[in-house]
Amino acid sequence: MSDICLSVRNLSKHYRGVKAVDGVSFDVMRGSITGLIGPNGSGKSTTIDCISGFTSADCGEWRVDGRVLTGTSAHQHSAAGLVRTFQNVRCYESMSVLENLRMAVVAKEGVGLWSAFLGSLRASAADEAARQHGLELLELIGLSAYAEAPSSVLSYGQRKLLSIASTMMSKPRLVILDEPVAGINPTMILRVEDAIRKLNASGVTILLCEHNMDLVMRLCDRIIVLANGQLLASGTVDEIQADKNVLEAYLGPDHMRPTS
Amino acid sequence: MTASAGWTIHSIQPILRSLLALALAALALAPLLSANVYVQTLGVSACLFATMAMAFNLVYGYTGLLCFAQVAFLGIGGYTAAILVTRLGWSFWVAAPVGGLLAAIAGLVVAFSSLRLSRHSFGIATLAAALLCTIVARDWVSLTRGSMGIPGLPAPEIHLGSLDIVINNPYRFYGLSLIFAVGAIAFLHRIIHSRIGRIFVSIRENEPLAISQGIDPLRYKLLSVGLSAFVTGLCGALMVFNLTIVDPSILDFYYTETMLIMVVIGGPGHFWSVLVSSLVFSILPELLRFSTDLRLVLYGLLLIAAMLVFPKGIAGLLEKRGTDFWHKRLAAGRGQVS
Repeated sequence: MSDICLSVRNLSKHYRGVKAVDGVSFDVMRGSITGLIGPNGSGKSTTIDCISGFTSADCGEWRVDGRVLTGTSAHQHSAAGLVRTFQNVRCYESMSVLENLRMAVVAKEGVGLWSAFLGSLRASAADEAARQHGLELLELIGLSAYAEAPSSVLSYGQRKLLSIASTMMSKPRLVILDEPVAGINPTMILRVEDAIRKLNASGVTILLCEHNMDLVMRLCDRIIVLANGQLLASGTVDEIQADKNVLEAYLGPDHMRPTS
Repeated sequence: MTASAGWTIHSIQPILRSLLALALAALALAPLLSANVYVQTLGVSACLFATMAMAFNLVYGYTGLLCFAQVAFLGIGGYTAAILVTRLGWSFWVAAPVGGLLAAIAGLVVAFSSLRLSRHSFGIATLAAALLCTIVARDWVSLTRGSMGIPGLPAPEIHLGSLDIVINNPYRFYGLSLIFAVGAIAFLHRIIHSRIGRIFVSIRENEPLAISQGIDPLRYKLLSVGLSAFVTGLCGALMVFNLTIVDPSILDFYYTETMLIMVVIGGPGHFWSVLVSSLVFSILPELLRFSTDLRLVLYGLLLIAAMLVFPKGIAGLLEKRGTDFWHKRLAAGRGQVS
């Protein structure tokens, strides 16, 4: 099997003449944490919306572990192992925190009317396994005290943690994290960072779309830089930090080196 | 875990359910023990309305689809069963499920064509379907006999060996309605509390998240509409054979409005509270008959009061208690709870 987990080729998306993404190509290596950065309007969100199936691309092709996902619907992307989180954190508010995690398993496995009606022993065993796995994950991210609480009582940062834990539940190949630390306090940022490291340590490849450059520099193995809908640069953290165009245009002088 | 800061929906759920089950059992038995035809007829109505409300709750409360075509499904079920029995001589026991199936197919056609666009399109399409069914019932005279309706529907009969039962009086029809309602509501309860029910709720709560986790929303929305339409179609068949006539009044907006009231006051997406609400609002109009002139005024005032006291339904009030409890608990434990 190739070392490439996600391969994107010539991705383009135009909105009434505005080139949101224009012929972007890049690879995400298996097991890596790859950053996707760029200023507002650079095409990051459109890119991840396209490659997660939430927006139809005008042209281009993308594969996850060699499987072509171009033209398939968003839920089929998930079935193929590509899972994403959202910038505006999302959860099922009427469900408990633990139920939110269990939903990730239920959603992935799906269910037929007949088996749901009969409630087979297999389904019960799977539910119990999902419950145990969910409790372990909540312990891992420090939310075990909230397991039975409705997710509506969680703070914004805790919801971000919950959304990352949800992706862990479904055991994906690739997770796209859309601004996982946007709008949360520095203490919570460290907890989210820890959760991302744990997610990656479990063998999941991560594409991290983020504006917090300190976090990106600390976490990422490689970085992809977009500007005006096009690929500006791609390389290791050191290469990106040494790229004068990127530094001047997008990072600024304060981000020459990681802060910790 | 900290000590309880008060009762919550979770802490009192087992007690509530037991009390509710006892109350429902007593209520269900009352018409069977009573010789009063009025009480028995009211019982039939309560059984059918409760089932219709629970079917509507599945599609609206749990799946988040405001479906105005429930009344069309009711009419399709009623007319299909009536036509199959009177014109083709089918048995009621075959005609009624066929009526339900036809209602489900109609629901799937409307839902498939509109849900691909948006939830709003679905609302408009179902409203149009309900109006279309009214026009068909009224104007396709060769099929439906128009506003005259199809009268003289024969009483359903049961032949089991030497046992012959003709369901031709309110007492027997209540027995049939009760068995049907218990079976249909138990079926809906099973669906709602299965993995499918959780998927319905996930689609209602946050469709993009559900999609990102691998759920095909269209598939499950169609399933929800189809199941709801099937159960409502069966209700329609039972209703017209109880009345012994089917006419365009079965497609009256009154039924849609009643189902909406029952579900909204009960709390959309909640099982027991909607069941209680449906029974209360089945019986309430009859209780208000002591004043013919003021009946509708009182009914309206009670609705306004209910909406003011329970803006999110009866279940919403209980749910708020649960959320308040967690907020207090988290506030008390902040700094200790990670």
